[in-house]
Amino acid sequence: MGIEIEHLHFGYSEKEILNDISLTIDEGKLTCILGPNGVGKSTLMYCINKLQKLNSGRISYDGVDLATVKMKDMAKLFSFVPHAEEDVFSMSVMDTVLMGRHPHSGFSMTKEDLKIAADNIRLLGVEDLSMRSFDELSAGQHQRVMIARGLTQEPKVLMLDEPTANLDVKYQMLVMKMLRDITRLKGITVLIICHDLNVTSMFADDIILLYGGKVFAHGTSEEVLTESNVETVYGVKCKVSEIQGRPHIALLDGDYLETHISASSKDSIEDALESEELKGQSLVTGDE
Amino acid sequence: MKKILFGGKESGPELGSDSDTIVAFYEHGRAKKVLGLLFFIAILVVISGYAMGMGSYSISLTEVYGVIWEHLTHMSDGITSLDMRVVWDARLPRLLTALVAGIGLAAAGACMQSMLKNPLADPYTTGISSGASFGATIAIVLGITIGGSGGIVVNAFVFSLIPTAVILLLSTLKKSSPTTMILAGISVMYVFNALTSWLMLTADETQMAAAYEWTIGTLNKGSWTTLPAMFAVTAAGSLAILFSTKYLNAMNAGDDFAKTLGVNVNKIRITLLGVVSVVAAGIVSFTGVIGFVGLVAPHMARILIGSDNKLLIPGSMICGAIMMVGCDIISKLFTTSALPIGIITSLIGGPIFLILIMRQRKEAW
Repeated sequence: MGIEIEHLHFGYSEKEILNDISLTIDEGKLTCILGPNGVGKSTLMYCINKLQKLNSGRISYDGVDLATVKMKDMAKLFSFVPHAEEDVFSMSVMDTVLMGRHPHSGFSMTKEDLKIAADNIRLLGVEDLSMRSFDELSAGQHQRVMIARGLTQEPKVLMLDEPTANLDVKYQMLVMKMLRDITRLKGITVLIICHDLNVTSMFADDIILLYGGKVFAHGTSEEVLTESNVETVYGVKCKVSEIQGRPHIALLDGDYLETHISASSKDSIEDALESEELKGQSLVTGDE
Repeated sequence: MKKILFGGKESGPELGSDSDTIVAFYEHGRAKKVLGLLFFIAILVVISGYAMGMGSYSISLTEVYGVIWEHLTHMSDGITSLDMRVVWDARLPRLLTALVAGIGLAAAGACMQSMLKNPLADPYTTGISSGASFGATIAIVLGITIGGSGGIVVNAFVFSLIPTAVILLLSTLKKSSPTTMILAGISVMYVFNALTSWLMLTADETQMAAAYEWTIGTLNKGSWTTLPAMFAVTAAGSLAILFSTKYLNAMNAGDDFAKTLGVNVNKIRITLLGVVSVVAAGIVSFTGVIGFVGLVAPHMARILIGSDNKLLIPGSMICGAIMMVGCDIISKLFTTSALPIGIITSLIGGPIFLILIMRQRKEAW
């Protein structure tokens, strides 16, 4: 069954961000949401986990309208890994992961709660960091700890807002591989907001491509990551080839400036591109 | 590795350790922190006895606790009536006032810092002290009181709650972030400070001295009559804060994340703001404005046992109590007439806090 979204509209006053979104996110799959900046990827995720109230439409999980589910009960179904942790006063990794037991525990943690947290710390391979303070960790370690916390919540759906942002290529691959393995191992639904087309192509079972407040394409990486879709949505030309049975997108330099950047900005960017430092580099991703 | 004096471990489980080992390390670390808290409670008991024995009529530590034990159990063990009067009637109320004020202000400060995610927040950030000062100054200078015989105390209590009421009103009219709440408190604080200064300019010398003494805080007014109200407010408020530690931990990780854990962030924040304000108001209306304890004691506790509110709040309470009793001892040791406690807490607390910050290998917040 999974998550079913029907005619979802969301916006602030006059500005509509999501316009008549209808889709189904299948259970037990790793689904990535793609789209340009400001298209409403995070907003869609926030609508699903009820951090944003819908203007109209319906979101259900296993046939149950989420509007009727209390946040306390939502927390037992959905866990959320934010883009970045905001904590001012940092706790230990174990205490941070234990926070995931909040919806299930009483005032104090039981032995069972500790065991679940420790199991997930092991699963994410951060057992040697478990007594360390959270703010001492690297970006990649942060991400793994936050995923462990999300899993400690024992959700049916794990949602992650740009888990690969600020990570180098190795950690992007590591985190995405972990998430794919978790999807298979635990049988839960994993929903990720992502920017890197190739990383998404490599790991996603299902891709939702948003554009202009609507679902522009939805399906497998072969169905969604086509040259024409990438050009229309991102305004960049690309060459799609196949590597390891998945589409691989090589971005091409040049013409995209015409469609998305004003004439004055275009001139200054073109000047910059002419400079020694930037010449020949792609502005969009690390594809070389 | 971050230096936390109790329970901070130089080593943890190794990569590949099983879950039981991770849990064992965690529980061992918690046990060390709890032992650290017990150690500080023992220190508090000793310095409390010492504080009660100090004075022109000196009494030993064992005699002090002997007097208290005798009074509680009525088992006479050679305790003189003079010892009884000095300890039970004169010094114990002062000590209990210091303990209750230290515990309450520190619990309120720790709660405020976690709740508003701001290391500079303390009960006075919301303008409580300036409201209380204004209320007391009205009573002292103009003779206008709300509570009749309660006079200054009732005025201080009522006016100290006004800034919080303004913040709560703002929160209901407009969705408020922690920063908005702090800024609203600061703006109300400036208004009250200006009004207090204006009143002081119209006061005569006696009134001005009385008003000024009130604004720097003193334990001299602590008595068996004032203690029950102070204790009741502090105990109820501290218990409420202790039972909210689970929510405070979640809110520390960010409002959005806390909401996805099922925490009603706005409701908890507004409720706790009300609780903290009543606790702080209940204390300052009897003691006057005692600065620095609510700000520094939580940070001391954070350095000692870390930022998990389940241990931080009780740790802050103990640190607040030790700070108050310690400052009371220092004021008696180095001055002929005990200086108002508010001066000592700031004078001693400031440098100690600076030393603790400098000794940290890495910041605790």
